[in-house]
Amino acid sequence: MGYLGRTLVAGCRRWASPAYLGTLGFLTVVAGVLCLLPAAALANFGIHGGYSMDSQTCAGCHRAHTGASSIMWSDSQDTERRALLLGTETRLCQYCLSCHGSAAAGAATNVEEGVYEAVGYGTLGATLNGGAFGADVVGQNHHNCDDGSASPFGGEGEVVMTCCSCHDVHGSSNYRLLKDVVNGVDVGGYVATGRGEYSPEPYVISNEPGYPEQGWLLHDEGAAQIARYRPDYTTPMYAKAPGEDPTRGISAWCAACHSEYHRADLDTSSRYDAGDGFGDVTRYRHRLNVPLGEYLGARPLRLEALRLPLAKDYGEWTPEAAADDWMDCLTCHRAHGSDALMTGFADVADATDPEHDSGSGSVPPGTKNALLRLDDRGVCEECHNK
Amino acid sequence: MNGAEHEQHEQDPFGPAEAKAPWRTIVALAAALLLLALTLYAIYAYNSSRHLAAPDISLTGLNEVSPPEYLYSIAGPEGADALRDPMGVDVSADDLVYVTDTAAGAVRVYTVDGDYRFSFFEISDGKRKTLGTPVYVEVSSIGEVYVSDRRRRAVYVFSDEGVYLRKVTPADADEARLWGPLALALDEDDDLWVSDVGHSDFHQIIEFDREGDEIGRFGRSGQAERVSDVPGRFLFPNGIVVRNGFVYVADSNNQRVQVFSEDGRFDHLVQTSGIPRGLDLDDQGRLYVADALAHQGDVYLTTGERIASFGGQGVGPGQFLYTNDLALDRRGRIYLTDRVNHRVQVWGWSEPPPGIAEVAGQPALWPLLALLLLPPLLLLLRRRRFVVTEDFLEAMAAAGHIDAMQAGMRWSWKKRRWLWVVPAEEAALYEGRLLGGVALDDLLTAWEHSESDVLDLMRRQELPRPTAVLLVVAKRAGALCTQAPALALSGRAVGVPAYDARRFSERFLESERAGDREESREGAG
Repeated sequence: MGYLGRTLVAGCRRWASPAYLGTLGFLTVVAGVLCLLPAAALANFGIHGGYSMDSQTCAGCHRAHTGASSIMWSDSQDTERRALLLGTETRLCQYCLSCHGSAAAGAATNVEEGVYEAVGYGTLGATLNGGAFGADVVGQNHHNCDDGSASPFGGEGEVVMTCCSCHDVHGSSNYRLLKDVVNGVDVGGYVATGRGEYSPEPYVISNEPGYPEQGWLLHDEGAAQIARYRPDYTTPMYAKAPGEDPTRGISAWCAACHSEYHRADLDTSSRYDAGDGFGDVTRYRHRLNVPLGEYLGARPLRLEALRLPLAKDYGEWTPEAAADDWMDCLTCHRAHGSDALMTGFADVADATDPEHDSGSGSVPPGTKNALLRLDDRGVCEECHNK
Repeated sequence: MNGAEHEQHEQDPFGPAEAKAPWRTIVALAAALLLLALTLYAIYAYNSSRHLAAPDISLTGLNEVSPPEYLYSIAGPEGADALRDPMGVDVSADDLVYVTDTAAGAVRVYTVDGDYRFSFFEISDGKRKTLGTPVYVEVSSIGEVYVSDRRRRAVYVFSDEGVYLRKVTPADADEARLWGPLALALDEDDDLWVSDVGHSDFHQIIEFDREGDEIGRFGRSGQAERVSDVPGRFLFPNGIVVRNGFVYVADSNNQRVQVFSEDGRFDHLVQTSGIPRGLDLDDQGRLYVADALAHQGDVYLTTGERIASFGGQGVGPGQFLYTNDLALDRRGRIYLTDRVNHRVQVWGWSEPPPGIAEVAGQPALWPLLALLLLPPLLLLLRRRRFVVTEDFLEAMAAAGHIDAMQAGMRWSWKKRRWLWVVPAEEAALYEGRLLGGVALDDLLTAWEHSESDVLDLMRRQELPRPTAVLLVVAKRAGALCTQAPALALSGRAVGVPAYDARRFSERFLESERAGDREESREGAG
């Protein structure tokens, strides 16, 4: 035992007297209290979900009792509830654009101009898979993200559209934070599997490297999934619906609003008023969530160098199209907005227009592109090669 | 203790004093080790996070800081030159306010009073003739204006009148094509510091000299699960300020400000409330942060304590919608871009803000740590005290150990110092005496006794007064050195260990020599 050890033992013998023990005990308790009090620590503050159970991130945006914002959110019954957001904000899109705007100050995904502003998770300067919202880029050819009401094509009623109409900023079971309940329709979610445990049941998954087929888990397990995930924001790497269930997938997800475009019974015809002047008549539409190989036309589909993204088996993504790939909504349309140009017949979708693209007969000149990926009806010709 | 040992101790007046309960020694030893461990942990925790794991302690002035007050806004002229989307702001030494208008792709220039002067946007960068998406702006000490352009992926440099001069990019052509300059800062030497978010996996800080040559870089991307996680990694750093050898980086999406030395070594964190974007630092060491999603400005000490917040969400005067950047002018006024309200707000301290010394926070907590260190320190420094009698001193002198007694009083890393004590009543006995060549005046220290303790001891033990005085002082010192067995026996009776010259030498001097011999062998080995 060295000098320090001898000194320590000798000192402790002396401190063994009741008076010293009291002092020592007091100092120990004080030191213990100092060290055991919670130190400054934030929990997982991944911007979009995966929060830990002791997260403090909630307080960054919400106030439980004193929120002054009128912004609402929709519950699973599509009833609007207060989001209890901090401050007096009434428009949600600006909140998102503070990071995802043209300055890309908080995210490389500049959804305003529809451009990926970095390298690493896509091609620098390339168009985002979802396209753009900015009027400078796509005019009015975008899903409304600024709290306006819209009547969805092939759907009923009106839907208030914000970024959060489609995305759940806190995370979801689906690809790209796509909500689990849209317009009151279940299109993903979690089911309880045990005491405090939940299993994801996504509608939309992806073939991006590291994407979990089972969907996104919650809390720390979800954070671990995120750590292995390499998204690609400029190359669509879509996957077929989980379990190759044709009643799910992105088409079923979109049909939460555009309900007649992909019905649960997979019937490709239904009767409804599309607002196009033909009234309440039976409508027929392109099949979705079907392998391209099922097309049996006299002229086969053109699959070489296809410029349209198809949904592939999970884990088997290649850029080349194959006969068993599915076509779905995103094969032809962009989700956010498109700058595709429509001219001539392509810009007309109103049967009452007496003269195409003339602005006569109370029908304004057509400028809408229906968020199609290619100019005019390029999306048709790309496969059918007529 | 068996019966034979007990009998031997009964016969030996210099046997051990009344034994203390061994469990007490064990408890004391455990408590001392725990105290040491907790102290070390506290030091470690403080060094890791610069936060003492303790509740906030109110310091002078800390809760008495009046936040800055809204003064006026700068909105620019109506028409084509109106501010649309002000993102970055800086104020030059000659009181011009430069504001980047991201939507317009231009830099607007105002006086500090808000009068519009001019705008500029023309560049000459190959085919690119205009700014694309200007985000942040910094003005150098000689008036050159640096603008980061997110779309053009370059930092453009203009004269103070907006004439394009040059651009700054990394030397490597591929990197220059791919990088993504965002936040800007100029240090005291006008070296340029840029945050680069061009690669999603490598968000970093790059330093360039005045000529645009790279000096160094540090950092990479990382998402912090907790505020103290992954120091040195960033997620969209939107603000930099370099001052006094430290680099402050607003690690925006990780909701913190990281502080580094200029060579990129992580120093500490400042935890912020929301999404910190623009930064500035005043001459008193107060760190100003524009918080984009909390819609407010915050003022921190560089050590992390928030001393004031101002603003809030809204469209009225003094309210923000997505503030993004801030700058200070030479009067200490604070300029914040109010992006969605299309203006720059100017704020000022209503009264002279407290000096840094008045609100100094974390450094003042160090004495608490020092307090924790005191007990073990005192334990190491405390001298071993012996009350000595005249016969003991003479016996030590006869044995040739009086020099060792004197040497033991001096400081040594090897052992505790000794203090030789005599009752003050007996001090006269040793005045002017030499023993073995040692002046006893220098060797001995006189201690006063407690008269009530003496009287009590005399009554209880039926001792003569000189013996009682000696024992009272010996009890206080902790040990008695005497050649008289009867005195030693009395000492044992009151719990004071006693040593005669032989036993003292065996117990202390021999062990010391043995230690020296061991060290010599180790040294030779």
